[in-house]
Amino acid sequence: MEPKEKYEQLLEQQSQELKRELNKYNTMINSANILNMPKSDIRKYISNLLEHQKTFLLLFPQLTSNFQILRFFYDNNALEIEQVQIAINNILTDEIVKDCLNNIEKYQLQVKNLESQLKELDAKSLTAKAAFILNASITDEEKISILKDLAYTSCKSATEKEEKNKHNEMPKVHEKIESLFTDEKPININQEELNNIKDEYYKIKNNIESIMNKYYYLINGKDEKYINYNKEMARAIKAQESQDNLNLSTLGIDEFQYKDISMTVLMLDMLETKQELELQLNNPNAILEDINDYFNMLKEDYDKALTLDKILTEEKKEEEKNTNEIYFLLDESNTPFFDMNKFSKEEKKHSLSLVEKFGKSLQEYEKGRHHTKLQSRRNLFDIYVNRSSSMCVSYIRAKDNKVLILTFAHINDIYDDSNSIAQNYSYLIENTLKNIENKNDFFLEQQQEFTEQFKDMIAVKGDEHK
Amino acid sequence: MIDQKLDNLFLNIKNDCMTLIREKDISLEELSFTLGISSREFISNFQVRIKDFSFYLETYRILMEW
Repeated sequence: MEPKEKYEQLLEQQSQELKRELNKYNTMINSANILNMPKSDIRKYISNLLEHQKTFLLLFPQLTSNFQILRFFYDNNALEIEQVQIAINNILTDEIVKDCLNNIEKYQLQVKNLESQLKELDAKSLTAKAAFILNASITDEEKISILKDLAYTSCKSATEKEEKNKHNEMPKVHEKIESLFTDEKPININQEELNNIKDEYYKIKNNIESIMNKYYYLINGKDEKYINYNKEMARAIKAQESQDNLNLSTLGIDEFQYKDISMTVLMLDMLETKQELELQLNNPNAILEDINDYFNMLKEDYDKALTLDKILTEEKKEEEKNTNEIYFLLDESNTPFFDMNKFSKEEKKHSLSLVEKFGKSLQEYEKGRHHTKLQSRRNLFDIYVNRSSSMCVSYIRAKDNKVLILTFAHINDIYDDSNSIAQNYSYLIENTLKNIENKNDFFLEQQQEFTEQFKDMIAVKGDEHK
Repeated sequence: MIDQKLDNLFLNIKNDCMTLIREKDISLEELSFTLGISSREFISNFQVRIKDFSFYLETYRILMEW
């Protein structure tokens, strides 16, 4: 590389470095100014925060969840809710934010300093250039060569500027044309076929009614609006199915994550279809094709209800079991997927209480709001989570009322931590579940050893002296 | 057509949920825990409509019974 090129490169590097620093301090000052703005108009204040959310989160990534809360309530016009004030307080009392707010003057001085350094580096300042060359990490020969060149070029003053033209992309226009065709249905009265359908229907009618009775509680006495939303859902799914469209606008009930909702939507659909079928069967002017369609729809719904019933019954059965046998998921080196040392004294106490509850009152516990099932389409196992204050334990139910603990974590981390373990260590979970089932001696020994270690981990030091 | 219907359904449920959250002053952290998802996922599902409508119906059901 020529000395001049080398010098230009060094100059550019130095300039970029200074600009980065300048940008950082300017961002800190701007952020602090936004945070210090009057809060009398809370909507305006939050709007300003959200407008600069990207910058704030680059500086303070630990505040992501608070910004999410602000965004959620701002978008939904519910800024009077207490959680908004809590999120703002969390932002303003964050240690790093407080540090930023308390050091504005220091940052302003830094900005001035950096600006003057950049100014000196500016091509017009020959002295600064010379000083920079003299201090640069290049050889003396290179320095002399560059200085000579600099002296020569300084005699000429020519600056060129390049302008870039921005091309505005023409927006693309997509048009959809839908055609609707209706076929006139011929009137068809075939008594024999009608009797066949009637026979088939009466054969399964009792079974249909029995399953509808079992899940009637899902719709009985529920809010009218809620029922109507479920009905609209059922109609939307049907409309989608009839269109045979590959670009799904919504999922079918068998793909819903919340199976109780699948059953609710299905029950409402079955009620409507059943009513309509019975009306048609008793109507002498009914069209056979319509009767056939309603019967097939009802049969299809009934099959779906049977599958869902199996899933829901199994889930309920599992949740009703208490357990005294607890196992821990350990990796190849016998290490658990949690670190008790990072938890506070209080958090350890809650973790202990979570473990104790497996044997004592799990059934009661699981009826309340301190128990949940993790929703994830990618997990091979059903993962449950119990909570005590903000501490959580995630676990998998093994056979014979046994529990395999995956991890302990704060409520904000339990989902990601558990999902990550379940997805990345599914083989380990599978092996552990097998070992639990087969009562593998070596495994049981390891577990016993770890349980002793766990007792030490979870013991809150200092309590014994009280 | 279906998309439009679903968009309306989503907006109506969302508005009702917001009213209930506001009226009952329900913490997003607690609500998302009950739903078995993270607060981050909850907020994202309410920002952009997802295909699994059971999430919205379940949220509304939980909020009604809270």
